Amino acid sequence: MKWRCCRRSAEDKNVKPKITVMLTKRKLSPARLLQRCKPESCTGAVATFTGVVRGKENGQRIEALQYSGYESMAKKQLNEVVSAAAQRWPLHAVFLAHRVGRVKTGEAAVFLAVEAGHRKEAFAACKWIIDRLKKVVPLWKEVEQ
Amino acid sequence: MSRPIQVTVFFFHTLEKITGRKRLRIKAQKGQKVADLLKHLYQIHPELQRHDQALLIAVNESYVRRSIALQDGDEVALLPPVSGG
Repeated sequence: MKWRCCRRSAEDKNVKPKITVMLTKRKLSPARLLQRCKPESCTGAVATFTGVVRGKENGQRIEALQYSGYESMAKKQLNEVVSAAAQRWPLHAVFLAHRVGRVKTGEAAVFLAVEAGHRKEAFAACKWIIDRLKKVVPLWKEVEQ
Repeated sequence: MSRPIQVTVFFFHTLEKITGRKRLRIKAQKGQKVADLLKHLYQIHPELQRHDQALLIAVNESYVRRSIALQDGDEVALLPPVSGG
């Protein structure tokens, strides 16, 4: 599928996208992280994605996932992915956090919030960022059963 | 005769388990390419070669093609397919 970029409105042109990315060993609380979003006055949409550790995969019970990575490169890649999204769509802010270390079933492994003027670009960028993350960010998970 | 250079190779995730090490310092000749380094590594750790098709290579934290020439002090990372998210 080819994404089409949205045109920047006059309001969007005055907004420099605020980008925050992090790798953390600490538990992610999507509700608390969302409170950190301080939308611009012209922001009309905040799309979020939370990736949660499944309790079952292919009939096998999962206790936790162990995430490891090439952390310095992973941070650089997260920044590059988000910056590329901000070039494609008129975004106001992006917050992206990924866990490293042991993440128990039911816990969030990744949290992404994308702020934009309208839902179309917020949803599109949100999906694109998470898809891209899964392809290029050097992080790996191992199943703990 | 070309000047020798030194690069550091980092092995991640399953590749670290295969090689039994996190890093390896290697002397190479200036102008040698990533592909040449891989051939050399496959001689040291033949089991790595089975993963050749899926390997991603980064030099100094950026993805590269195997045709690029190595420079002295480069940090070369061998990465299995990523699985974040």
